[in-house]
Amino acid sequence: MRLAFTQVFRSFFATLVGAVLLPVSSYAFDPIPPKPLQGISDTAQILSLSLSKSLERLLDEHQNLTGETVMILTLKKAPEEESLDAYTIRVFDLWKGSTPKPPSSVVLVFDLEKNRFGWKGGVGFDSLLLDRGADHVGKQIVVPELRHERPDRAILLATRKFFELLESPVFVNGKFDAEIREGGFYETFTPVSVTKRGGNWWIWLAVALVFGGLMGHRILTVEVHYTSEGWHRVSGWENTVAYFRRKVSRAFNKRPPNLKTGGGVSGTY
Amino acid sequence: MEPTEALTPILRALRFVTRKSTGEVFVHVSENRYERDPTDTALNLFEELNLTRTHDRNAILVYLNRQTRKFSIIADEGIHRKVGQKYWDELARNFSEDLRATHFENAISLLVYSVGTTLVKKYPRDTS
Repeated sequence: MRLAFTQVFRSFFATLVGAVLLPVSSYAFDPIPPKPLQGISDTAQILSLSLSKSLERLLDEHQNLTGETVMILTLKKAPEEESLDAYTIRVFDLWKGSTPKPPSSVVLVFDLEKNRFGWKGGVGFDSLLLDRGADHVGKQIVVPELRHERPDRAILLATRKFFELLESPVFVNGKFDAEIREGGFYETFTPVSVTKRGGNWWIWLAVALVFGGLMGHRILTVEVHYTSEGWHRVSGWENTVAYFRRKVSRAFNKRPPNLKTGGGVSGTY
Repeated sequence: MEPTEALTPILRALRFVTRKSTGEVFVHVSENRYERDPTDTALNLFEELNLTRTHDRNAILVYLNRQTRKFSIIADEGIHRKVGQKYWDELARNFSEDLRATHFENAISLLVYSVGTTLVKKYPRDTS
């Protein structure tokens, strides 16, 4: 009886542990696309065939000339269970295995759903790229372009920047630009500016314009005061100060009790 | 700011009042198109200009907004006690007609002459 109970308990415990570990195991084995033969795994299908071929030729030539491998992965949607950096490292670990010089590999990962960018270089290689400012590529090139809904530009310009950082002969001799142009990319290689990429700048501009307009109106509103001694135009400064003083006194209901006017009348014409 | 002494019809009328009466009339012309209530502004001005300081409480403020085409006339309690609300209502009706009929400066000066005459009657300046 006791033995049967133990067996039941063990099987229940095993089921429980299995239920807990199942999501963890699925997380751990979240699928990574196989290493591309030509350096690009465009799972999000962003690049046109001609551009993709041009980029592949450039990646291949860079590898032939330097022994360094640059690989690109585009994702429509990155796994949500882990950070993009962690995912990029897993991609790197999987893909570097069969490269000719594993430490001299770089993987660029583009997450198009969340406008993110991750990169990972081989040992020693990543510190070199970091020194040369590779960490700014995401912020300054990829994210603005993705927010501007130009993922193709994001991929091309980021790859171009990495070639520049790597001092690739393909970039130095101008072949990168020429090849990309041949692939059908005729736009400028200057990334869209951070200010141009949207955000809420126009709201701030509108608020500033409205506020400036109101202030200007307060300042420029013509007011003339006549007394028996003469007349004077109430200056913009006096007018503005009086306006805010009235607002404040109204907010605190500070009209003095001794202000007792007799009568009055108002009208229109 | 020092007042400009260029003689306008309004100034001429105001000087007539000061010369003949102890009462005081002030005129304020605004072009603030976003003003909602001219009476409120006029009351604020009445307070800011300290118009209740007159000995007989007989100051009058004429406030006109040319953009909203509204006006307000505020009178201190001394003069109001002597003339009553009916007087102001009549005055406003005439002022409104004058504003429609003629240039605002003429309309204001007519108004100032009108209240000035009343002030002269009720509060004559002792010139002896």
